[in-house]
Amino acid sequence: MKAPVIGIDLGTSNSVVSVVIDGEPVVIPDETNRTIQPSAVSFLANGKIIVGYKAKERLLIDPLHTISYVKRLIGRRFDDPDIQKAIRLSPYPIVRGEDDFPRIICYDIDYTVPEISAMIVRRMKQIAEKFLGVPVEQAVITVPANFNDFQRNETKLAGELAGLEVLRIINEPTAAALAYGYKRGEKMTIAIYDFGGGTFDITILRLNNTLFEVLSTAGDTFLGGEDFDRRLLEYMMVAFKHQSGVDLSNDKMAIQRMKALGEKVKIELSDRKRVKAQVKELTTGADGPMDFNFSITQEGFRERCSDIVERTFEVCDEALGLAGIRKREIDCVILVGGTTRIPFVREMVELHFGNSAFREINPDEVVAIGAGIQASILGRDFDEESSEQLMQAPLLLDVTPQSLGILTVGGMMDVVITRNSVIPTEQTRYFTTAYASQDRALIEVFQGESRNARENLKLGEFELNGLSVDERAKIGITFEIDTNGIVKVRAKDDVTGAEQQVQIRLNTSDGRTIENPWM
Amino acid sequence: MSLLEKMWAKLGPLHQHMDRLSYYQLLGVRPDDSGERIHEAYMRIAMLLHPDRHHQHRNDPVFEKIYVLFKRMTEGYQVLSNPMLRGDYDGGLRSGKLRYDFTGAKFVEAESLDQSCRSLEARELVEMGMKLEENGDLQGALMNFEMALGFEPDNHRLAMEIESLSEKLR
Repeated sequence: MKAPVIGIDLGTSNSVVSVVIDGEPVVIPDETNRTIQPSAVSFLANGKIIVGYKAKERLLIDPLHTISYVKRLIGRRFDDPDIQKAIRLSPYPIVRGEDDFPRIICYDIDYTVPEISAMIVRRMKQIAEKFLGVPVEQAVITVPANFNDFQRNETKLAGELAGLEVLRIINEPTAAALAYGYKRGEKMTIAIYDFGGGTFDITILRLNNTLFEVLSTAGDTFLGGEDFDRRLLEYMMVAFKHQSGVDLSNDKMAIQRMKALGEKVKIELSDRKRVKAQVKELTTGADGPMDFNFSITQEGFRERCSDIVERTFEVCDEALGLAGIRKREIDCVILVGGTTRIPFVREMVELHFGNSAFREINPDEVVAIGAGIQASILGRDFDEESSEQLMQAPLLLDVTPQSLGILTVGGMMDVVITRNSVIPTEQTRYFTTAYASQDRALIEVFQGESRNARENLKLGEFELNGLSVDERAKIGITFEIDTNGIVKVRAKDDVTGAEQQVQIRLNTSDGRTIENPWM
Repeated sequence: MSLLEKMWAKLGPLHQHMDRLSYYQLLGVRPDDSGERIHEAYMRIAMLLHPDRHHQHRNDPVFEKIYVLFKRMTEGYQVLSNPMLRGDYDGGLRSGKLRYDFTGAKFVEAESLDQSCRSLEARELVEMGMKLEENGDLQGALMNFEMALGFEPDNHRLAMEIESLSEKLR
């Protein structure tokens, strides 16, 4: 039997692997019949590395050598505020690598972020192989819709380090839609409302029988469940001050403990109308240790956080505008992400989208199932089939969530590929020398929506050498976004037909400089 | 013959003359076809030619050629599916420009229906129609939109809306 292509949801907290067998998606269980693996890696003193449940158990026993939430670090430079935040919170050392990307140190060995991610991928691969009884070689891996080029590349790299050929990097909300619409055979417009811990994404997609067409995607990378935690924390601090007269804003230890409590309270509020909580000996006052007693209702929580949910609706409107459709044209809304488990978030979303039906799908497995479906699409060989069969098989048409551009005069961003373009797509820009003696030019490539290029993410730069002094000569540079949403740059023949000796170097995220493979 | 080869037998000439064909010709549609028609045509093309369809043959030289052609068709679809860009493209096409020049292109986010109207008459009719539609009177809305189109026969956005509304009524 030829090994099937597997789909992996490489999540921040948990990972799931799935495969399609005889047209049916299957979420693959491990030896103990569990389908969800914590995305945790633990290093033992004897050199052994463990991943999943057993690693998660060690988070409390051996925090110094147990790594979790590595997805928050992937594809980010050391100076990134999110990395700096992770450093403050993490018990193990995170240092700057030579390439300006972070390294995680365990037992004196430094690991890159993709190396740690690869350990999780390897475990998922292993689970699949045990289940299928054959070696698995190819996979589709999911990423958040707002992941940029670096983050996509490093996720792909993690898969490769785990010994897999990564056939596709697919957006999580799109995967959720695939899982929902697979074999449904309907014509409908779907919105995927993906509200996670740190980010919010909305994807609007049209399903027509087996064709999944992404109409638009928009997001806010600074909007998520953490904002709710922060509000709860502020509320608790005020409550404590009211109770005891003590201001805790400078007591880091107490803040940490309150924060942990806040997260617990938030989760408990999903099932209960009112939650009471207590922290023993939160701090030490003039009369000795002081406890903190706290209680909050669902209504109270909602009152303090509803504006955060309102902000997601602004992003929804933006996506609707991009798609060119109106709110009431949405036939159904799919909720993804942990934050959508909060009852009042669901209520508000339901109210906002009016009569469009809500769909309940297993939020833990839906993304992996979608990845598995995409994997089966890529793994299918149509060669012996007819074009009629081709027309009936599922297909996903995705868009690029961010604009790609180059730095131009006055620091402005010259958009080469606009966001929401159907991928794969490419655009060519022609470059000429500005003055006769100039034979080189630096091209800086950015990703983002700001008109000011420097406010966007710089993907890299390359130099055009040996520009012709013939003023009619132009060099065409083609920017491509492939089906993975990954950026490629290549030089094109110049319009006069003469070969140009140009060298293109685009810095990769791991700091290596690669020669352009097209040259 | 494999499926890919069979396809190539048909697509070879299209690939060869790619630079001499307009987006309409590449997508196999007529310049006066509605946005809906163009959408359908591209979706059919995608179902057959999207690289995901032939992923198992991605090292076949034919795969690369079809991929290049598909990207050009996608470019055509991107322009023709955006009423604003399509208007610009049609203008250029009359003077023989077969490809859209994206340099400095203004990508206007999808216009609302009333904003797409250039004349006051059309806008008033469209606004009235939108209100009727909001209240569930699709027939009345359609009538207003059709009257508005009488003032601006080249308003693609409006034509698309009429098309989708009449489909709903059917």
